[in-house]
Amino acid sequence: MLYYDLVDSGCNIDPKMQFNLGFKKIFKNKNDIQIADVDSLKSDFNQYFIYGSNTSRLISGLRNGSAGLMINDYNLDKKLIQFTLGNKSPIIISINKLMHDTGFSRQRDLLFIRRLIKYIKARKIEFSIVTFADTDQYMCSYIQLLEISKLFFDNPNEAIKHITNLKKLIENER
Amino acid sequence: MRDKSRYILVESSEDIEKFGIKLNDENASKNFSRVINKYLLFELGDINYTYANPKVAAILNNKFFIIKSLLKGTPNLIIALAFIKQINDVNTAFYTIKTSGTIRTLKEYAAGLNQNKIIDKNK
Repeated sequence: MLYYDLVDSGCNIDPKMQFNLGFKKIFKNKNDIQIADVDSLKSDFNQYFIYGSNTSRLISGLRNGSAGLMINDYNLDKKLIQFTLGNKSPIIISINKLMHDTGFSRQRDLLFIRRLIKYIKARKIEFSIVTFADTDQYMCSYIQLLEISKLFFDNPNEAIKHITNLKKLIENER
Repeated sequence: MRDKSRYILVESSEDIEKFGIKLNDENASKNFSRVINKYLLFELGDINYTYANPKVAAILNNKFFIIKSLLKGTPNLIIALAFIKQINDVNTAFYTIKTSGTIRTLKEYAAGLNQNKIIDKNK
């Protein structure tokens, strides 16, 4: 089984670390894949994976050729998900917020991710789970990512599928 | 019946000596166990901690160590290790590299990692 992960541009990844963590490849923002916040001043999101809190800007970005959607705040925006379904855009779910939070916030994140994934899965939208770590400290090994992902599914075996399909998901969009 | 155990090879992003552990000390594993178990108890909670019953079985070098846990609590322990981000006010991360039923396998694997002799497991 080949495992893939995606991290932000702040992480320093060398091949040895990538190997130790057990991933075939760790994609890096700005090097291997373009990810942008729609709330930033940037206006052209063509071929970018986009994230942000402004639903109308996200929908506008997807309509204008964005590669896909990245979710990192776990709010279930049904309108946005429905648009993604119509647009056939893939979704990347980042667990970065979950890793940063503690206590009740983390527990709430887990519940929200479960609810979100249940909704996405029912609509048969392609999605992948990644760490999107902003620093090395928030990175995970593939074993840890797999065990965390198992918390989101009723059937733990489904988790493997969604941490191994990132490459396929990205390359389909190119 | 004897409880089945599992051994977990863990890599620390920071040197273990920075947590106040002297590697030359003969009780280094016990001392490190005492330090890390406080944080594991916080992440796991009382009940899951009992299921896992984690102990530092060996410190291999300044970065790698092996944790012994009960089989039933191993998945939760792996998650708890991912959630620990600070030990004794030192920012750190613990990456689970490999799990095995015997400590010997992990020692051999870690030795291979340090000498870059491991065959690519993704192939």
